Amino acid sequence: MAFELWIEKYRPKKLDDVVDQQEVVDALKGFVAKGSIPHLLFAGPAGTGKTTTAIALAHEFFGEGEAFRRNYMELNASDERGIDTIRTKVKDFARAMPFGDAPFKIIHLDEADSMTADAQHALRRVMELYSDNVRFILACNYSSKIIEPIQSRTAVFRFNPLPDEAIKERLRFIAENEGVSYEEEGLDAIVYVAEGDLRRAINLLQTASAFGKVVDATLVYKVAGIASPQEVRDMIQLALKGDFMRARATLRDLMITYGMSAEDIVRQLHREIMALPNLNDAVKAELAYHIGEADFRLTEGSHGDIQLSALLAKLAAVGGRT
Amino acid sequence: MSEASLERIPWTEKHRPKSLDEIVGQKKAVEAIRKWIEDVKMGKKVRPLLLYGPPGTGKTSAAYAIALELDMEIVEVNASDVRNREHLSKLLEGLTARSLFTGKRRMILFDEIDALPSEARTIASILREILKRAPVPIVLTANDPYEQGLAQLRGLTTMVQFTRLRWTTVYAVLRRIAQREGVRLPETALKAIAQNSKGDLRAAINDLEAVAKGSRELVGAFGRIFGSRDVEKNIFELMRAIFLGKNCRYTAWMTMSVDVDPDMILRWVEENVPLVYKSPKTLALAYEYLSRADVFRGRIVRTQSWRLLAYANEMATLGVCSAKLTTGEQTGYVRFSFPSWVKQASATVQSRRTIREVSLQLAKRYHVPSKVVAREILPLIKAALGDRPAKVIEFARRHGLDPEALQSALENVRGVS
Repeated sequence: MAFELWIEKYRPKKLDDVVDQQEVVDALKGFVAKGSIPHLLFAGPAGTGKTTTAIALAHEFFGEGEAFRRNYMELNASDERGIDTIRTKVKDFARAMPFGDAPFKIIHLDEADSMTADAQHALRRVMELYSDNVRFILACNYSSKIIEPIQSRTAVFRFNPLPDEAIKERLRFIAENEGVSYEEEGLDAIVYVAEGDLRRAINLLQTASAFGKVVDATLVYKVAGIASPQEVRDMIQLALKGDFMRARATLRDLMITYGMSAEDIVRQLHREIMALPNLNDAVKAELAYHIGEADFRLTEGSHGDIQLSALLAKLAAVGGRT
Repeated sequence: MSEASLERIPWTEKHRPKSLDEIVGQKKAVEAIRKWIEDVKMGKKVRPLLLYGPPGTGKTSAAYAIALELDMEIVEVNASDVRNREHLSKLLEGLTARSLFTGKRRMILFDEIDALPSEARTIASILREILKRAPVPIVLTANDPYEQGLAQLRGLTTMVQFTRLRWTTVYAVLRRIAQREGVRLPETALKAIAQNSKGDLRAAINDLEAVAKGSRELVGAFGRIFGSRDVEKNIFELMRAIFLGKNCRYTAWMTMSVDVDPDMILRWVEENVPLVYKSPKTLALAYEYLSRADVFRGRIVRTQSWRLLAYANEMATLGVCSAKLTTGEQTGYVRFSFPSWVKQASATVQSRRTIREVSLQLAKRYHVPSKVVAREILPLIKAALGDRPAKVIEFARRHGLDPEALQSALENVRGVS
C-alpha cells in the first residue's frame, strides 16, 4: 500500500468530527443551516483545527466532488510572493461564477497575520471587490496582528490549544487503527512536545512508529526534531553558571544543525525555566518577563538567534547575581 | 600624493607631527627624547625608550619622529604578533639586516603595550633577547605603565612621560588645522571641541573633522571618502573602536566607512561581544542593544523603512561600545573573530533552498504551511521511506516532485541521530 500521511488520512471530513472546538463548530453549523456565511477570521495556534474546519465547512456547502475542487481555494500568505500574487490568484479564481448551484466560492487564506499592514489593507479592498461571489476565511495565529478594518468585517472565531487529554485520545484512536504499539509514556512525551498542536502530535506518532517497533518516550524525543528537555536544561544551566560561550554554541547547534526554530526554543526555554526547582519565585518572575520580551521580539526582529543569545546573556547576568 | 588621495586620509594622520619640533605641549619629554637620540647616534648602548601618558598626547607621533631623525625604518610589532611566536621570530631574525626596499636600518615600535597586560612577561623576554642579539633601537608606548604586570618592563626601559595637553594648546592646533583645511568654524565651536577633549588631541582632531564634514552634510560622501580602504582592516578597526575605545561617538559613523553591509556588521559585533566583555552585566547590556538593533532590522525589512537603519546601527555600535562604559568594565585586546554563525549558516544555504522548494510543493497538497512540511513532514517521510529509493521515487512521482530534489531534501533535513 502506498505511503500515506496520517494527518491527511485522519483529517475530519465533517464539522462534527473536528476535535474539541465545539463552540466554533456549533456557531458554524448555524451558518450552514442558513445557507450563507460571512467572511470569517480563524485565530489560534498551529494544529488546533483551523484549516480542517475551513475544509469541513467547504464540504458542507460544496460536497466532496468537483464542486469542492472548483469552489474552494487555499492560499498561504507567507508562502505566496507578496500581495500582488495573492491579488492575481484571487482575481482569477473569483472571475468565474461558482460551479454548480453553489451560492459562493470560498478562499481560505492561511497565515494572514504574516502580511504587513499595507498588504492587509490591499487585501481588504480585494475582499470587498469580490464579496458578491467569494467568502474569505482568513486564518492567523494572533488576531491582534490583523488590521482593525479586516477584523470588523469578519466574524472572529478563536481556536484554543487542544487539552492534553483530547490529543491523547486522538493518538490512541489512530495508533489502534494503524496497529502501532506504544507505551503510555510515549504518548505523554508526544503530548509534551506537541503543546496542544494536534497536527504535530500525529506527525510525531507516525514518525516514531516508522522508526521503532514500540513508540516510547526515548524514541519520541529522538524523532521530535526538538532538543530533548535535557539539552535545553543543559543550555539553561550553562547560561546561569555564566558560561555564555558554551550556552551560545549549544543554541547555534540546536538552530543550525538540528534546524529548530527560535520560536520552538523560546517556548521550551520558558517551560524548563519555570519548572526549575532551585530558582526562587522572584527570580522566575523576572525571567518570565525577559523570556516574554524575547518571544515578542522574535516576531519583531529579523534574526531569531540574536534574540535568543540576548536572552541567554540575561540569564547569565541574573544567574551571576543569585 | 594627489589631492584626491589626501582627502581619504583622516585628519589625525594627515596632520600628524612630522618632526619632534612639531610635537606640542611636551617640552620635557622632547628634551629627554633628544638626549636618547644623541646617544643612539653616538653608538652608545641605550635602553629601550618607554613613552607613556594619556591617549592623544603625541607618543606614537614622537616614535615616528624619532625614526625620521635617525633615518631608520620602523618595524611595528603589535599585540597579535607577540602571540604568534613563529611570525615573531621571523620578524626578529630580519631585524639586523637593512630594509630591502629602502636600504635603511630599522628600529622597533611596540605600540600600546598596556593593551595586553597578560603579554607583558612575553614582551619583557623578547626585549631582553633583542638587546642581547642586536642593539636595535626600541621604542614602546603605553597609557599606564604602572599597571600591574608591567613592572618588569619598567625596569628594562628609560621612561619618558607625556602629559595631558592644556586646552589652549589643543585649541591652537585645531585652529591651524581648520585654516589649512579651509574650514570656517566659529571660535566658540573650536573652543568647545578643545575643552571637551580633556587634553586628548587626537579626539579633538577627530571631533573637528566630524563637525567640519558633518556640517557639509556629507554623510553619503563620508562613505566615499573612506570607502576604498582595505575592507578587512576596516572591520577590525571598527571592532577595536567598539570594544576597546572609550570614545564611542564615532563608532556609528565609522560603519559608513566600512565596506561591509550593516547586517554583517551586526554579526561581527555579536560574534565578538562575549570574547571581549567578560562580566555578565556588560555582556547582558551589550546583547540588549544587539537585540534592539535586530528589532530595528526586522522593522526595516518588513516595512522597507530604510531610514530606521541609522538607529539599528547606533544600537549595534554606540550601544555595544557604551555598555563597558556603563558597567565600568576594562577591556583588553583580543583576537577578533569572524562571525561563525555566518560561516555555519552559509554552509547549509543550498540544502536549505532545496528543502524549501520541496516543502512549498508539498504544502499545497497537505493543506499546511511550508514550514510545517520542512519541520514535521519531511522528517516523517525520511523516517518512513528514507532508505528505500524506489519508494522515494514513487512518492515523488505521485506528488509531482522531482525525485532528485526530494532525495536531496530528505538527505539534508534533520533526521534522527
